[in-house]
Amino acid sequence: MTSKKGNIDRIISRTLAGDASNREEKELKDWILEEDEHYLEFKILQESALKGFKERKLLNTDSTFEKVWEKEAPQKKGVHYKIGFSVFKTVAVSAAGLALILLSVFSYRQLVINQEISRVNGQPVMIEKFSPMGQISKVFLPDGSLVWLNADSKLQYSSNFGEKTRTVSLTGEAYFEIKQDQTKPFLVKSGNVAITATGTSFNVNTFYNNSDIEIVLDEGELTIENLFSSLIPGMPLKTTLVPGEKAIYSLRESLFDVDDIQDSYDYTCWKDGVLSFRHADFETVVNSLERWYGVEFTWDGEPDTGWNYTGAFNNEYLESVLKSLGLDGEFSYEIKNNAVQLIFSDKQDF
Amino acid sequence: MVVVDKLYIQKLLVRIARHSDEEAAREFFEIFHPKLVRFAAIYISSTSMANDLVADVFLKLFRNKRKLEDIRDIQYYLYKSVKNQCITYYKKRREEISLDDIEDTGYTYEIVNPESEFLTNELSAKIEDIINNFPPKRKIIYKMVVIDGLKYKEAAEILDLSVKTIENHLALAVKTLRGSIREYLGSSDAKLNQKISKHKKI
Repeated sequence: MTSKKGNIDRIISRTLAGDASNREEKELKDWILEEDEHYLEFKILQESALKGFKERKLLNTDSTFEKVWEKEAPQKKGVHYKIGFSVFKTVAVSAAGLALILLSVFSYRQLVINQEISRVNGQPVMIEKFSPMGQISKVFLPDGSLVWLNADSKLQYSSNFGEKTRTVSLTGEAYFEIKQDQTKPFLVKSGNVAITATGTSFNVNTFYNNSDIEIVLDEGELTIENLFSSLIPGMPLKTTLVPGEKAIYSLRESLFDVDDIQDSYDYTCWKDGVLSFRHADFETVVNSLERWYGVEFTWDGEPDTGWNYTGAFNNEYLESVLKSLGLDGEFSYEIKNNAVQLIFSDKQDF
Repeated sequence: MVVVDKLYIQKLLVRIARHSDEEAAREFFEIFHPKLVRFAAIYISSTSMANDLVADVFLKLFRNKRKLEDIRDIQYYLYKSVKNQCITYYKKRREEISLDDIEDTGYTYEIVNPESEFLTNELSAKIEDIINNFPPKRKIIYKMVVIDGLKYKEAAEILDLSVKTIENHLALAVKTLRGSIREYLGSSDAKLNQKISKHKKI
């Protein structure tokens, strides 16, 4: 009996450490069922272990961090644009040639690119940030919010952004990390869809299925609204998203479809340089690769209609992506400058 | 759960490695810095020296931040690096580091959000008290394995102990804790008794 008791302490500690074997787990179960008190004893131990200990910050944590974190040499000195009342800081552009990016690893650029500013007699002006094909950029908004712009995507906002409202328009795909401000909700407009958030992280993709809009929520809460819904009777007006959900707005049907997702990172990993596909058909793969690498595809022969590709590429060369996609021998490829030709092996000759 | 979420840490590491993201680095630092200083303090009696040794580990880590993603288990890596740093420190001073030198740092652990389904504030305080009064070796083993989730083997390697020793200490820790919990339950707590009957039905 004593040896058995000693044994149970061993099994409990293994279980608490997540290191128990199946046999041990079964033994623990039997022991728990023996008496109610056993059940309680185990539960109490487990709960106290799962909660963990408070890790109180040491007094010198902040100053020590400053010592160990060496700031990167500033990439290129910031340029200041003075527009109306507000000053925007942007990081200068290193416009590495597109051709260079093409065949090089798709690298993430923490830069703001291609600013186009139009002035209208002292009135607030529209500011446009554009991320060309083959490039991802990070936009720092005046309120401290952060936006990752995927390739071939555009973000517009007024120079008085943040004064009374926080509104941006998006074409393409972007990931938003919104600074908390209950008094000024953050509004993203895309087509006739408006997304309202106060302090959340989410991904908006208007490339989805050509024209539909896909919204994935990482943290917080969102409200999505059809701006013209009041014009069409009987149309669902609004929907709210919670983390772990995505909404697809179908342009054709003008309605929202809310679905559960397993891991939001599948949808947002592009901002870390990971190109991923989920059950993608041929057209989707080609469109993504064109944007991601800034290339244009043509093809000889007919791709198989049954394309259903799932996979991810972490900062890969275009060539290795193509190699991996064509592994089953369905196609061979040729890359010339920014043109990619796929040759499908089952090509019919007249 | 306060136990560090591995996936979350991984995300922080990606942000640091790829984008030199200072905010992520700060968060990562704040999660591990206090833990590691307390760990170093079991070998190094001077807190400011323990702090310096840990700072060195972070400095090296951040200098090679691009390699951060390649580290398979960052928590294990950090503990191990701090331990090595302590050994180097003693070597330089031509002193041997021995396990009997594991000192009680006097740090008292507190359970996060003490009250919940099975735990009462009183019970949590009791458990804290027992853990804080464990012999120094048992205390650090319990912390590393049960709270931080290191494997027996990993903890054994970091602390230069055998897996058997780790196992014995943990079994004794659980035994002591269970004894005290039983005693507490025996002192007839109406709320907990209700819970028993509630769970009986399941």
